[in-house]
Amino acid sequence: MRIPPLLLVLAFGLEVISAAPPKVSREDAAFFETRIRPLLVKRCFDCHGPDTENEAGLKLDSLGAMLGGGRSGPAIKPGNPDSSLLVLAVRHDPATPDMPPKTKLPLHEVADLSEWIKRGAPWPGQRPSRARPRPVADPDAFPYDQASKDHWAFQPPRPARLPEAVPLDRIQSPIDRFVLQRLAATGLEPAPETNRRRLVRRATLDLHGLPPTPRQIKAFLADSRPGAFTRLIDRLLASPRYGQRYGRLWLDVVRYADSNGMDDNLYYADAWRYRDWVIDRFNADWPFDRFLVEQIAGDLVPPSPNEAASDRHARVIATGFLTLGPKMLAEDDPTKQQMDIVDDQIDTLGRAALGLTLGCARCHDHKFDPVPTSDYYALAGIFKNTQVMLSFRVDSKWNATALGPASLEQQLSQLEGTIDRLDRILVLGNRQQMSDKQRKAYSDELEAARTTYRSIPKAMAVNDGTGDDLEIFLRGNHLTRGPRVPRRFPRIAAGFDQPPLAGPGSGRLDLARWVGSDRNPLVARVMVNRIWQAHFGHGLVRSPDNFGHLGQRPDNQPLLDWLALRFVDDGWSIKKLHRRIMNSAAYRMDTIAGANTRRRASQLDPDNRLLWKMNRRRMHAEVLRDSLLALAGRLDETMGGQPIDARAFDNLSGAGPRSKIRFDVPRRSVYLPVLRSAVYEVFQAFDFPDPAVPSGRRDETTVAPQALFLMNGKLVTESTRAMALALQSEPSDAARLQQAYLRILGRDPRPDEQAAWRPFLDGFDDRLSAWQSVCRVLVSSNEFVYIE
Amino acid sequence: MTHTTGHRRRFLSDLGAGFGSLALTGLLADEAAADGDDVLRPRPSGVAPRAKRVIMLFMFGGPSHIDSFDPKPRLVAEHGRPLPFAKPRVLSFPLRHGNLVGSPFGFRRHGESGAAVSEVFPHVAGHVDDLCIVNSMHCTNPRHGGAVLEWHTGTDTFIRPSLGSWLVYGLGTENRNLPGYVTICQALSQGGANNFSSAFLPAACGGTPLGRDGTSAAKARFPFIKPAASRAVQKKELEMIRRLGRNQLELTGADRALEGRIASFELAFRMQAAAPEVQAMETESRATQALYGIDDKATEDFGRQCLLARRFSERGVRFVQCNSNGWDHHSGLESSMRNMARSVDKPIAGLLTDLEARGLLDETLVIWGGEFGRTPTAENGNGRDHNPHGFTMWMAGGGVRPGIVHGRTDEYGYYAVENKVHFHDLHATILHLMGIEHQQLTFRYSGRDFRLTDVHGEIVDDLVA
Repeated sequence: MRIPPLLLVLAFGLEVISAAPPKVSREDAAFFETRIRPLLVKRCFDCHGPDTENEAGLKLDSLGAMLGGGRSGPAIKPGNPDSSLLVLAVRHDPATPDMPPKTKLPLHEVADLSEWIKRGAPWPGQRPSRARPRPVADPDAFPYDQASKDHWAFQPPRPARLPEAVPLDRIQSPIDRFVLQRLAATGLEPAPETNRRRLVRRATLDLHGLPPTPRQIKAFLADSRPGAFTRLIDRLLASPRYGQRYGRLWLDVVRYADSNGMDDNLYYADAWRYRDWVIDRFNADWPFDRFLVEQIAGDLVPPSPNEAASDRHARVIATGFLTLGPKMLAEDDPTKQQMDIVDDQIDTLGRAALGLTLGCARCHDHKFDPVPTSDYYALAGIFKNTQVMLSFRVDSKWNATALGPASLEQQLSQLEGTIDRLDRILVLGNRQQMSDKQRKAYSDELEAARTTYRSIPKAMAVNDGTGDDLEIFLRGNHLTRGPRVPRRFPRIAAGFDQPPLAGPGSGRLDLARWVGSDRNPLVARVMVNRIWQAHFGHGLVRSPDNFGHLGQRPDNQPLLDWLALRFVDDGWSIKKLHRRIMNSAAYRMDTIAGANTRRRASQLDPDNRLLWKMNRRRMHAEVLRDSLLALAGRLDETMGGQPIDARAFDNLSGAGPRSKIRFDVPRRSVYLPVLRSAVYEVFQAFDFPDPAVPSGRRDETTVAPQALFLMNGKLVTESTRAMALALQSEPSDAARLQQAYLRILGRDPRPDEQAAWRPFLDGFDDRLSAWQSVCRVLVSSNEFVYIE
Repeated sequence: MTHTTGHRRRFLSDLGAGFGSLALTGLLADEAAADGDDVLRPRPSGVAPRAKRVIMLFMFGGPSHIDSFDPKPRLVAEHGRPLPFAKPRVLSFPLRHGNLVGSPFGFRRHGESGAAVSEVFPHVAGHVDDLCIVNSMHCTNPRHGGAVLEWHTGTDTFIRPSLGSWLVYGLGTENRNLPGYVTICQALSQGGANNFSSAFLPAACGGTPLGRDGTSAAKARFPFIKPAASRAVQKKELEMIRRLGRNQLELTGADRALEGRIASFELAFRMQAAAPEVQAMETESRATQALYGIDDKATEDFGRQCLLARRFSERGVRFVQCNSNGWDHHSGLESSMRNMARSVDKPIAGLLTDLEARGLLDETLVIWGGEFGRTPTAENGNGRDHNPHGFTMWMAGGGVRPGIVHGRTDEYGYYAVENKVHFHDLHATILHLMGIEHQQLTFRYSGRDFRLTDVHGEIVDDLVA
C-alpha cells in the first residue's frame, strides 16, 4: 500500500516523509546497528518486541511500527526528539508513562535514542512510508449505539395530557394530578395537609432561609380569607431575602468562591460582584434563559438601544461564571494550565446547565454517555479562545475588566502589565543578582501599582479571542495531538447537523444561545429539578448534576417534563415556578403520613419517590447560622459588598491577609467570605459544599462536630445569651417558655413539655443561665434543625 | 470485596450516626470498643494486616534527600560544574538554576544495615536498623500545591479523598470517642483542607484538624471542643435534648436520622472528655517528655506533636499526621536544613524508641517524607529547587522490612533510576500493610468505582517484611 505524502502529513503531523527509497549513510547505519538496535532488543522488546503482546498497542520492531505508534499516537517524530513520545518516555517525563517502567535507562542510552531520532531515525533497509496509519480519533465518529442515544434526557420534554382519574378533593394544582396518579397505582395514601404553623415555617425557611417571626406567624394564622397561602408566598418572594437564599443555591452549582484555592490561595477580590449580581437577578426574577446566556457570554451580547452603562457592566460581571474556578496558578506547564482552566469551565457548564459530566470526555470518549472526545474538544475550542488569564506561566494573573469608560480599561491593562512584570522580577528573577536597593525599588513600585489596581472598579471577567478550532488531545495529553475538530456543541443534545458558528470570535455567544434555549432538551428540566429539590429535599431526578446514563432516572418524568414546558412558556420565570410548586397539595403535605401508609410504604417506597409525604430536611449551614442570629436579634441585613478588606492577589494563607478574614460579623451568611481549602469551620461542620467543584446537592451528615458546635460554639453561646436576655422582659416563667417556643420552634409548648421544664429550671441559681440553657436545648433539638 | 458491602453499609450508617451509641466508661481503645460492634474490625480482605494504625510524619516543603538519606559523593566531587545531562522539560524556577552543589553535610554509615545518614539527623541515625529507606521515590508535579495533593490524595488534578480517609473508610475506627483521622497543625495552604478531606467518602472519614500551621502544638484544639457550660449543666441539657427527641420520635415512628442525631450529641459529650485527656501531656513522665525533646525549645513543638501522635495512636485513632512546616529551602540550604532537621530529629527518634518500648511499633506504621526532594543543582547560589523526579521517604514499624535501603537515584541524585517507587506504589504498599488490597478498596461515586490508586499502583514487595 502506498500512501500519498500529503495524507501522511495529515495523519501523523510529520513534516515530510519521502516515499522514495531511503538512503541511510554508512555512518548512520553503523550508529543504528551498534547503538540502537541492541538497545531496542535489550530494553524494549520484552514488551514491545516482534513476538510479544504489544503493550499499549505499540511495537518497536520496525520503523513503520514506530511511526504507526500505539494508543498514544506515533512513538517517534523523526528529526524531533523532544516531541517524540519514545524519548519523553525514556526520560521519564511526567507527560508520558515511564519507560522502562521501574528503572531508568543509563543516560548515554537516552542520549543515543535522542541522537538517532534527531538524525531522522535512519533504519537501514526500511522505508518510512511503510508506516501503516493507525486509526486515530476521528472527529466525525460517534461510537455509541442507539440505546445510548435514546436515553430519556436527550429527547425533548414531552407534552403530557393531565391525568384525570384521580381523587378530585386532593387536587390543588396540576402537579397533584401527576403525583396522585402514581400514588393511586400503588394504593398509598398521601399524608394529610400539615398544620398552618408548620406551613408558614416551612415556606419561610424555604424561601428566605430564616424562620418566621411570631408576628409573621400570627398574621398568617389570622388571615382566614381564601388564598392566604398564595399571598404569603407572594410576600416572601417579594423580599430581598429570597434572592439571598436562592442566589446562594446557584452559587453552590457554579462553585463560587472568593479565593483561588488549589495551590496559591489568592484573593479573588472582585468575585463578590458576581455573587451580588446573582442575588440581584434572582430577586428581579430575571428570565433563566437570559440569566444563563449572560453568564456564558454576557461580554458578547449586543447592547440594546438606550441601555445604561450599568446594564453592560452587569453582563460583563455575569461572565465571572467562567473565571471563578480554581486554577493551578503555579503550574510550570503552560498548556496544562490553560487546558485545566478550560476543563473547569466545561465541567461547570456541563453540570450546572446541562446535567452532563462532560469533563469525562477529556481523556477518552465518555464511557457511559454519548459524548465522544471530539465533542469535548469541539467545546474546548470555544473556551480555549476565551481569555481568562493574562498569560499562562508560573504566577500568572487572571483577567479583569474595568467597569467604566475605555480610558479606565486602558489604565487597568497598563497596571496589569506593570504588576505582572514586577512580580516576575521579584518572584522568578535571580535574587542573588539584585541589590537590596534595587529590590526595594521594585517592591515599592509593585505596592503602588497594586494599590491603584485595587481602586479601579472592575469585574473578574473574560475577553473573547479568535475563532480557531482545536485538535483532539489524545488521552487528554497535549503532547499527543489528533486531528482538529470544528467548534460545535455536544451532538447528542444539539444534533448532528449543526450550522457553522455565526460568531463573533470564539463562538461563545452561539453556545450561550443554544444552552439557554428550548432547542436544548436538558436545560429547562435541569433547572426545574433544582427548584423542586430545594422545596422537597430531593429532585424528581435525584442526581441533579447528572441526567446522563449514570444519573438517576426521573421518579415522575411526565411531571418533570410538564414543569419544564410550563417553565419555558412562563418566560423562564423562576418565581412563577416557585408559586406553581408551592401551591400544590403535594408541597403542603405533612412529614408524617398515616400509620397504614407508613407501614405499606416502608416496603413499597421507603425512599418516598412517589411523594406520599413531605420530606423532612436538615437546615443548611447558612440557614442555621442566619436563624441563630435572627433569633438573637443580631442579624445585619445589609446587602452586598466585598467580603474581605484585602487586595487582589493577596495570598489569604499569609498572616496579614488572614487576619482580615472575619466570620464573626452578623451579616447574612451569603455575604461571608467563601475560601477554598479553608471553608468557615461552622459551615464545614454542617456540610457546606466544597466550593472547588460544582455541587447541586448538599450532603446531610450527622457528625459529632455539629453537636459540639451547638453545645460550645461561640455563635450559639452568644445567640442563646441574647435570646435569654430578651425573654427576661416576659412576666412569668410560663410566658417565657411560651415565647421561647414560639420564636424558636414556631409553636406553643405542650403541657407535658411545660411540666418537664419546671424541674430543669429549678436546677439553676442564675435565671439568665437557666434560660440560656433552655434556648440552647431548643436550638439543638431535632425539631428546630429539621424543616418539617 | 462485594461480599462485605452490607457490612460496609452498616458501618457507615453507624459512623453517620456518630460512631454508634456506646456508653463511655474508659478511654483507652479496648474499653471504648467494648461493645464489640462490627465497625471496629478490619474488613476481611484476604490480606493479614501487618499494622493497625499509621503515624505520618509529613515534612511540608520538600526535604532534600541528597542532604539527608541519599549521599552523592560524585556530586560533592563535581561541585560547581554544570549538570552533565538534560534537566527535566518542566522546571519550577528555570531562571535561577545554577551548577551542581555538593552536600555541605557529612554522611556516616550506621547500624548493622550500614545505611548512610547525614550528620543533621544524629538521633534518627541511631534507629537506622528500624528504617526501610526508599531512595527512589518519584511523583510528577514540581510545585508544592500539586505534589502535596498527589501525596495525600493520589492526584493533582481532581478533589479526591485522602489516604487517611480511605483507611478510615476501609477499616473503621477503634475508638469511637475520638475521630478516626487526626492531623496536627497541618498547613492550610497548598491544597489546604483538600489534603485531608473525605471528598466523596462519608464526612466522618475526613481528617479532623487539631490546630493548623502557625498554632503551636501545645495550643492546638479540636473545633468547638471547649465546653461552654459546666458538665452538670451539659448533662441536664443532654437529658432534655434526648427527651424532646423521644417525644418527637413517638410522633414520627422510628427514624434513623433523628435517632442518629441524638446519638451524635452523646458522642460529642464524650469527646469533650476524651480529647483533653489525650492532650494532657503532663501525665507523661519527665523522662518521656525529655525523650521527645519537649524540654528543649528547639524540639518542643514537634516533640509535642509526636507524643500526641503516640497518645492518639494508642487510643486507637487510625491515622495520625504530624506536620513539620518549613522544608522549602530555595536558598540558605545549609543553615535552614540544619535547623529544620534539628527540630524534628530527636522527636522522631523519641517516638520510635517510645513505640518500641511500649510494644506498639509492631502494629504502628510510621512514615516519614515530604511532597518531593530537591535538585542537585543550585538555586540562588546556595539553595536547591523542587525535584519530584527522585527523592527519599522512609517507613518503620508494622510489617515493613527493617534496615534496608530500596532503590537509588542517579549519581547526582536528580532522577530515580532503579526500582522506582511512585506515590501510587507506596500508597498501594501502605494499604497492603494495613490489610487492604488497593484494587479492592473502592467507592462508587458519580457512577463509577473510585480508588486511592486510580488505575495505578503496585505493591513494592521488597518493602514488606
